[in-house]
Amino acid sequence: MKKNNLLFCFLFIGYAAFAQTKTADSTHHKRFEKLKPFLTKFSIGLPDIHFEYCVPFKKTGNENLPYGMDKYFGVPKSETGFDFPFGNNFNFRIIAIYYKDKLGVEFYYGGFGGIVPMNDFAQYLEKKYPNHYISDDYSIMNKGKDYDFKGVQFGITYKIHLKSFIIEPKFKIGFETQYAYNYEPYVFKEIGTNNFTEYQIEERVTTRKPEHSYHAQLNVGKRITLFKRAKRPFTFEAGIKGEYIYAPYSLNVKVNEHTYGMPIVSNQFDITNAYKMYSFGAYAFYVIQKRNKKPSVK
Amino acid sequence: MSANQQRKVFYQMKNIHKSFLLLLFTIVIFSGCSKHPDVKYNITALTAYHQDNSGASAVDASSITLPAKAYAIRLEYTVELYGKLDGDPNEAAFSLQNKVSSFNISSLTDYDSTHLAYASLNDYFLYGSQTSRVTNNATIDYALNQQRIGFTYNTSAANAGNPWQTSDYLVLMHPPTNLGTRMFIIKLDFANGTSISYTTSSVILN
Repeated sequence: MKKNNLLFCFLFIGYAAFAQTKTADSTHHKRFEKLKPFLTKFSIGLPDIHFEYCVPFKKTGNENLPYGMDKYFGVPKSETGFDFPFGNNFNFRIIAIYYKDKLGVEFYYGGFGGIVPMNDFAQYLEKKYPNHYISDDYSIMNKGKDYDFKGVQFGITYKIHLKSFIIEPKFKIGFETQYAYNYEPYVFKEIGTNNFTEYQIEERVTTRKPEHSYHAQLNVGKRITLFKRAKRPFTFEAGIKGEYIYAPYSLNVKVNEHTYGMPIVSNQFDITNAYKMYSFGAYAFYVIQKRNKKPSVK
Repeated sequence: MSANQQRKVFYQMKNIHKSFLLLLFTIVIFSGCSKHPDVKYNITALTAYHQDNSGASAVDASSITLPAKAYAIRLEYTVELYGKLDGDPNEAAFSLQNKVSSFNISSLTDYDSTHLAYASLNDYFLYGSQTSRVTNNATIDYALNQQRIGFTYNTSAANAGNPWQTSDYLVLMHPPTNLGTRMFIIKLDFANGTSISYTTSSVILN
């Protein structure tokens, strides 16, 4: 049943997008007549699709954190990114407007980040509690720590047209929220006894919200038109992209250690750092094209 | 095609789009609805087993001598369906019909100087669905308030029919100061005024 719901949702969203595209493109209709002179100079960038490979920087700047947090806030693994809602990384242009198909402003909803594998942190805990069973090993070994930034982004772009190719440098500024996580405590059981120790990490974002991120992006694409003789030619732009993301952030981290029957030992410290990554991939979007006035006749 | 005809076609297409969207929306909304039956059950019997929790998780004791600092009790509840199961248990909400109103564990003999025979030892045990991971707040009172005592979610057992067994665990957090032979009494009172009581076999805690 859930699969059906998902399918219907995708159909619904897909069809809604398609219907809107058709409506927006129906400039021949009378009520769009007034917009015609405007549309000759300005063009609209529709939602686009990105498929990218995101590579976080190997050095995170958290190498000297105490209490094993250097491993907990370690190097995220690289991952592929696709449009929302798949994965940490997605890049979804909601709308854009271009002047003379050159200078443009864009409005995005995006997310970036990564997952830190917990193997190193699990090893740290094994050494810290040598005579204990890691009773919550599933969580430690399989649940990564998320760097998770999501929010709106505004971009300014300039398209350089070289024959049918388009070179497009972009600069985007993001207004994201970093998601802070307070996972369930890890529980360690001492071998041969009923003594348990909980180890919990609480995160709190201390950066003024929303946080800012800075994106430098370069797209190289090509416009391709299919069905040129049809009444409504189908034009799309596809290309490759490279992007560098820099996102400063501040976190307050509290590490709680609680052996049952004993007082809780808490250690707090601040992290002021920046999440840095680059991504490269492919993109494509549909280009609104004026329809041919008279269909060609063979 | 004249401008009027074009406009007509445009509006027709727009209406088709709208209708189709409405249809899809309706399907999405109603396709998620199905009958979710309640699986109501009652606890009909209780058996308790001594457990050795020295390892990663507790095992039923193979001897009557156990380490006091790694002692646990497995509570095996026998439960029966209340009424008729109408629908798929996989999509059911399981609930105990006759709620547990109180839970008490005590010792037949003096446990320590502050807990004489038959005095409640509830504060000395944690209550959980497993022994390898009990959180510090997993007290008996908490389990009682959260209606976790005797809770079962066992769709295959419900499918297979009546009765079935479900287990919870008591983990001893305060070993007795005077080691030796112990017998524990576990008593459950239910909301309808009935009770179930079980006295464990002897165990030597050392």
